[in-house]
Amino acid sequence: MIRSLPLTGLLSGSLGPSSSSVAALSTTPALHKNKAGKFKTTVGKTQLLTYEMAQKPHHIGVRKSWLTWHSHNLEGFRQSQPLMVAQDEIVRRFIRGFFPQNLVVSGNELVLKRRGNVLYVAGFLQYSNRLDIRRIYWMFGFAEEFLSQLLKQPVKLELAFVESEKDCAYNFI
Amino acid sequence: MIRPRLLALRSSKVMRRSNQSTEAPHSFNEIRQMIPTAVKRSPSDLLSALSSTVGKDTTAPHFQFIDDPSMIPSTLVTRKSYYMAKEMGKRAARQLATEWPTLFAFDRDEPRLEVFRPQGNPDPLQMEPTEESLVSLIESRCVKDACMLYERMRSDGVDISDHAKDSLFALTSFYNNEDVPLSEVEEWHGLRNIALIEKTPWTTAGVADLVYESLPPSSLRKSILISALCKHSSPSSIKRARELYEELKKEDKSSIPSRTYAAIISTSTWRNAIEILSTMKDAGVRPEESVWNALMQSASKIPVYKDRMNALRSTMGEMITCGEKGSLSVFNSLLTGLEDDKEGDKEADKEKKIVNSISVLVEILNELEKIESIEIVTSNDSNFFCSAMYIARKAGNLPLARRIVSLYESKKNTVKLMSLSNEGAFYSSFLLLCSIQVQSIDEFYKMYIYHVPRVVGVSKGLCQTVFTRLEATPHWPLLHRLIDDCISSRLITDIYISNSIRIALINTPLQSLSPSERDDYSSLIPRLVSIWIEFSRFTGHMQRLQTKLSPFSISECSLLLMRVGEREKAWHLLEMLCEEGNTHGEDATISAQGTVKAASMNELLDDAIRRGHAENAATCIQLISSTDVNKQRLEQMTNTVISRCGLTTVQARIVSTFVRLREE
Repeated sequence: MIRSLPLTGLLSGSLGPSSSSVAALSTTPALHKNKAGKFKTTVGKTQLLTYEMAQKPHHIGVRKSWLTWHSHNLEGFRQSQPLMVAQDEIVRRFIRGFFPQNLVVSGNELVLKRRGNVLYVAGFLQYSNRLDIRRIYWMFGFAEEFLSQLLKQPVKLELAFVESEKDCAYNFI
Repeated sequence: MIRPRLLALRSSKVMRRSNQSTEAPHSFNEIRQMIPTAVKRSPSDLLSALSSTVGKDTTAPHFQFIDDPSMIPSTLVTRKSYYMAKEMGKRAARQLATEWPTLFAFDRDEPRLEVFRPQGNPDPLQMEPTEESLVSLIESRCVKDACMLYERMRSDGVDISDHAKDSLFALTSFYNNEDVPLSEVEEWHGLRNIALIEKTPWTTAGVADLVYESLPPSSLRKSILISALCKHSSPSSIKRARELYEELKKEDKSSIPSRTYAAIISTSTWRNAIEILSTMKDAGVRPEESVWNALMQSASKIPVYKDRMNALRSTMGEMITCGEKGSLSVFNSLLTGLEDDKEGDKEADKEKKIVNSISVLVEILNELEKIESIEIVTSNDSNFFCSAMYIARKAGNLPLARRIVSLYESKKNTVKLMSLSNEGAFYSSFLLLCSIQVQSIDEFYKMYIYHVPRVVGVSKGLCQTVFTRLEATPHWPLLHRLIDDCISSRLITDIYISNSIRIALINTPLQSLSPSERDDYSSLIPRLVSIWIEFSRFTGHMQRLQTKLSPFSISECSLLLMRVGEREKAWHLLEMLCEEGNTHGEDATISAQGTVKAASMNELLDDAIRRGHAENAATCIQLISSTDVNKQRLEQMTNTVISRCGLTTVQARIVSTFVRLREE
């Protein structure tokens, strides 16, 4: 939603690309409200919130924890902080892409823990429509080995299964 | 002056708190500060205290399985299957990394870990035909590739040193010119443990033979070839091995290594084995472990029990004389050699044989319990525990079985069974024996939940044995657990098991159950019935999964549902039997054969009469009439229904006519 778009900007936008050099001045009052990481209520209270979603960003470290655990954020240990971020994103994207039918809340709540040289991926998955346990085992083996070969460190999956996404619900708003 | 007083008061409180038995001070001068003496602790005490707070989860599944109730395998077959599926997934990923190394080129690991950089084997047709290439292939045990490269080098006329040829000869003869069998693959544990050991006969005129011919004859080379010919035995290879042995014997007896003697003995009869042993004695060759094993195997081949037993005894005696303690594989050969199951044997003879086996086993256990540690000598050592447990189970000797288990689980034993194959069989035998021999059902229940399905897979035989035990001594927690295991192992659809489950549930004394147990009972029955109904509805393209209901099972299910208060469901299920469409045609869910269970139907009829429900009572009479042809009894039932259920005249006439028209 556009809340503070400058009026002159809108007008100048309608005039074409050549007018982009016109200086614009916002006349709309700024909305000083922190909205990031908070979910809006719905009419029928249909929005599922997991515990992670239900706790607001300022509760991180108080009521809820981090989704990635490593020592590279600590003072004096900042050796490869960006590498951790990149690795995390690779792992998350791989899991989301590899288990598309089994994801819970779009795979946003995977917890990556680094203990020693091992990277543990924890979280929840749900059973797909056609539950083939052998297939799940194959996928676990493939994912663990693929990520291990990719990141050059042992990767273990500690993913538990729930019957449906609703089993992870903490609240509906 | 105030300060010391306050201090004294405070200290007296401390004293009272610290030691109640200490007498109260009479005056302030007598007050003393009591400082407890420091407890002496070792540097590891804190660690020990911490470690005592965590322990082993004895009910957890094998670490390779996903720790989720529906993902934990229940049977031996699924356990192997899931393990292999995971391993195959790993192999697929490893193959990708081998074939496309540039896509896995993230090189930030320090130190560089070669294990995450898998290398494919070089192509022997593309390799440079040099001795170094050949040696590298031999060192990495690529037998077929080494053979191909050797052939290339031979055709190109490249010189190969005798040392390289010797290595190639040893490798190719050991593996019979084939690649390393799956049972020896180090990297993939599942494949190694599950793969069958296949014996292939010796490949005549293979690379091993060619290399042997190209080398000058020596006693070592001849010995290697003899061992290989005996390992990959065929009638022609054994004949050739004997000829080579005779040649070698004439040349120099003492140069023959003990392992070659063992190889020859393993393919010989007992008489020949004795001769070879005396040759060894003359040559002054001390027998190794493999020789004793081969002798035991040779003795085990004697067909007559008495002679065999004497041969085994004399071998053991010889071994002890030579100062050998014997390995587990030797004891295993001894125990398997004493096994003799002939159908024609008399009971007394059978008993005598079992007694012999038991006495030998007890002696072995006595020896093993004395030694400090049991070390692994050969790969077959672990089979001893299975053979020992088999004998104990056969004899029905629970104390002996417990001794074997405690020896196996003791810290001094380093010989372990393979967790996906032998270990399950070992503990399964033990549990089956316990199910019969353990007196207390509570104790057996504890043993059951400790072993099943973690170590022992749920099997039809085990379930039937436990159901038989439960028939004699009902035990709801065990029955509940057993039914849950049957569900998770899919044995619930088995006709015999489902029948046993229903009988056990019908015979469960509800009065003896606690309120929570009764709740469990009430929730379990509708769940079971819905499973059976669901499996009966797999028609059409899903028919291979279908397990039809039978009239007998329906009557039992209805009775169980009625007992837990699900009357509507019970009568609805029973009415399914009366509809023609359910028993005939392609979409039939109920088997047309068989009859309802009379005892269950009588109980259901009683319930209908008690509640005055004419329709349900009529359904019961209709179904009973299909089994019970005694017209007099049917008429009695009809009269009770007419009098108790308030039937109208027309209704009463219909029911009476129905019974009258039944053929006796």
